[in-house]
Amino acid sequence: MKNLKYSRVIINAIIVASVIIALTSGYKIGG
Amino acid sequence: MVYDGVLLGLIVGLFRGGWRQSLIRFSQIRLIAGWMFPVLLLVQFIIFYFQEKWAWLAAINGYLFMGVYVVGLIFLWLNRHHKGFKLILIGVLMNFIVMAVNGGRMPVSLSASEVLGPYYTDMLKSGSVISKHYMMDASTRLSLLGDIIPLSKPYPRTQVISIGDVVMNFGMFLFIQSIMVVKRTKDKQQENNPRHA
Repeated sequence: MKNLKYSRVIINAIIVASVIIALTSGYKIGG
Repeated sequence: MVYDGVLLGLIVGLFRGGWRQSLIRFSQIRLIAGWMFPVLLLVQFIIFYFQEKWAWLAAINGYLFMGVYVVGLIFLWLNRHHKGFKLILIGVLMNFIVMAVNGGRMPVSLSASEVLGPYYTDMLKSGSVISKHYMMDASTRLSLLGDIIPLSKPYPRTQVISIGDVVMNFGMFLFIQSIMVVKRTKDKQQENNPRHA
């Protein structure tokens, strides 16, 4: 069974969230 | 909705793919130059923070936001082989186009922004240069692609979003599902037919 690297999970979560947050147009981000 | 495609994708992916296995698959995501997207976000935060202090920065922020979107589109294109990324690309392109034809800033419908409360509507009316948004008016081009969709209760957030935002969040949801769930079927097939593994 492959090892679960939580650090890589967090890094990837930051990356995929950044794709959306950086390129969204939404008004009142995070509201 | 701004990042709800990510949240929803992760939650549904965990349920469908199993906690540990789906997280292992999620940890294996490798985007081409994926580090660029947090950098683009950081650049925007820097613009937001310093444009209030430096007038010259506020004067050119429209061009800077356009630059961020162009770089973002290039890196989305490089990752288009991932499921869902073409939809993300289309959504971002829709946002980019409407911003590009309106001086580099996103038009927001005043009537739609009323769900956010007086603070945000007043900010829009004042036209203060503190974000990449401005109030939509009769001179706005392609207003259909602007922030015209109000989100309020029973939706858990109050926001105003564009059609492009909906498309890109749907694409991100599909991408996360394809990572966290679809490969599980392949794994099972391999378990049932080890000769094909």
